Amino acid sequence: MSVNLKALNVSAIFPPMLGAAKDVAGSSWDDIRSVVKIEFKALAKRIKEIGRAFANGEINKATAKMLMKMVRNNVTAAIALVTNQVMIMIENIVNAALKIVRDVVNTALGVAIL
Amino acid sequence: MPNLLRRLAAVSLVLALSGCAVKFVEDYDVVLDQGLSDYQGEMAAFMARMAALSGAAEGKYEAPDVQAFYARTSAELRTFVERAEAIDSSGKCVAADYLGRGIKAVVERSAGFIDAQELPLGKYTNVTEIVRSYGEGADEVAMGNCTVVILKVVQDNHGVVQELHKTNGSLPGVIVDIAGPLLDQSVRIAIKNEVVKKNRGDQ
Repeated sequence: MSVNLKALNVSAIFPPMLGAAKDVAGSSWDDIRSVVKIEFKALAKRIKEIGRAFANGEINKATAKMLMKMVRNNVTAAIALVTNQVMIMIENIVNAALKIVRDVVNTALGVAIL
Repeated sequence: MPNLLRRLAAVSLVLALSGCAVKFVEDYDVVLDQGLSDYQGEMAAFMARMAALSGAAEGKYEAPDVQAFYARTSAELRTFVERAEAIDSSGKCVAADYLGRGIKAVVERSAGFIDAQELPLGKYTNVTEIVRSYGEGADEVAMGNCTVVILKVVQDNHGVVQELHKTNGSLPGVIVDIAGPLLDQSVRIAIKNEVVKKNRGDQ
């Protein structure tokens, strides 16, 4: 069995790992940024509506307080969603890098050991 | 960022040698995804119907159909939260947890600070009460893993809609126009959370 030891050099493995990580981070980050923008813009609109309805006497203080609680809840939910998105982005980066290491090592050894 | 990526690369190398793939967030749940989509549609239809019936007996909180609807949908949401908790009972949503505890701490300190001020707030005499109410339950909703937190928000928002219906007797259009999109937003976030889990690894 012939083993290509040159292919196992760190300088051969690291650049494609870095490239894969950058690709994953780039596309995931665009999605995260879009979620933050959409959800917080929607919340700003609702706060304005609550303020206007309260000022016009269309809703009372108790109703305004309950609606504001929903706004606060949604801030928490948006933060939780973004947290999961970031965790999955990191997960994807690590797994993309893992795949490259696996491919390089298996190809160099000529047998699937990883 | 390059330093972080280098560290991740080093971790990847170790994990590759151990033959592992990593997973930091629990799996996609088709039952939750479908259940939330059904709930979203049902609530949108219910709230539109309640706004149209706000002057009629069928739109009153005490109406048997209304009571049955709240009982059924509240039970559904309880099932969703319990399902997510059962899938990952030890998880913690660090950012949301800090946010929840932070809101509570800031609100409590702000309330004391506002108490000590003589602010020209005119008719808003009971500002402390409003400020304090904003912090109520903020830390409780934010407990559990991030999926549990999001589902607890949907459940809590559902409870707020029911409470609004109860205290106002009916759900007039002006309340539905604000509470409807707020409830819908929380459900949309919960569905997006499942979609993100479903598409993991696609990037």
